[in-house]
Amino acid sequence: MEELILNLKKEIIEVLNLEDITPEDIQNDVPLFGEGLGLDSIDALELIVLMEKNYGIKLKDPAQGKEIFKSINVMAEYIKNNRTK
Amino acid sequence: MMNIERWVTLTPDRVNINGTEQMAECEGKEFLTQLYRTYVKDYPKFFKMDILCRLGFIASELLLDGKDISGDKCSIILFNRSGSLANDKAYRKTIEKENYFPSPAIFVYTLPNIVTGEIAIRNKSYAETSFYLLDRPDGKAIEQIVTSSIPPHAGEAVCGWVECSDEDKFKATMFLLGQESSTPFNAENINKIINI
Repeated sequence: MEELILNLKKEIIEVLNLEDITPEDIQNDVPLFGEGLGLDSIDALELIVLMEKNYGIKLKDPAQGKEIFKSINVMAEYIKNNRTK
Repeated sequence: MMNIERWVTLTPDRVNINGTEQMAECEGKEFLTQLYRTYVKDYPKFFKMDILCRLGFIASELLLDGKDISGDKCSIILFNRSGSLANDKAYRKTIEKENYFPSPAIFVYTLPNIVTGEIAIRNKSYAETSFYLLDRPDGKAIEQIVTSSIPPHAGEAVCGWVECSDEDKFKATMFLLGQESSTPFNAENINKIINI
């Protein structure tokens, strides 16, 4: 699980161009949106693409993202249980 | 009649502000990042921008140097030849048949006028913004279009040529227009500065 979390953080930093942030800066249980990393709606769409491209998870309803992208811990747990690659 | 108060030219290896030239320690896209880290620092949205927006954004930051253009008095009117081609090519890579994962973050920059919006957002400007495509940086055309586009109540304008065909081939020449200088905004002066 730790390896998945680290990879996930690296992938998020890369696809969202968070150039001034390192994996260590992203806390596992802090909200990704709002007061956390301050991500926006375009970032949410980019995370949906990341889930499909890297883990083969296709979110049928984009509204699911609200729950899944709550924090790194929640996102990694969802990936662990639903990944197809 | 508007006058040129300040100007900036920016290429992959140098920047010139009102005649004071500074050579780059690195080139191309990296040079823009270096300028951001030196002169701006506090606007992480920069890293989400495509190369055209990064170029226009950095040129406008150096041009304005903290000057307040908020409100509706300063129009933003830019020109180039290649539109958003550099970013369009990047987006096309995300929609190739064998690897079809369209990127929303890249897609949002597939219009050249986004750069005028980014500058307006940064400066809290609600004034006229427009982006025109020209075959070349033609001072006469730029003068005529800018002069006829500025609304009567606007006392200032940010305008210029912001061209980028790929990440390492770009040039921006940006002018701040106002009443407080004696350099007329005319074809001759535009061409002279663009060709520096």
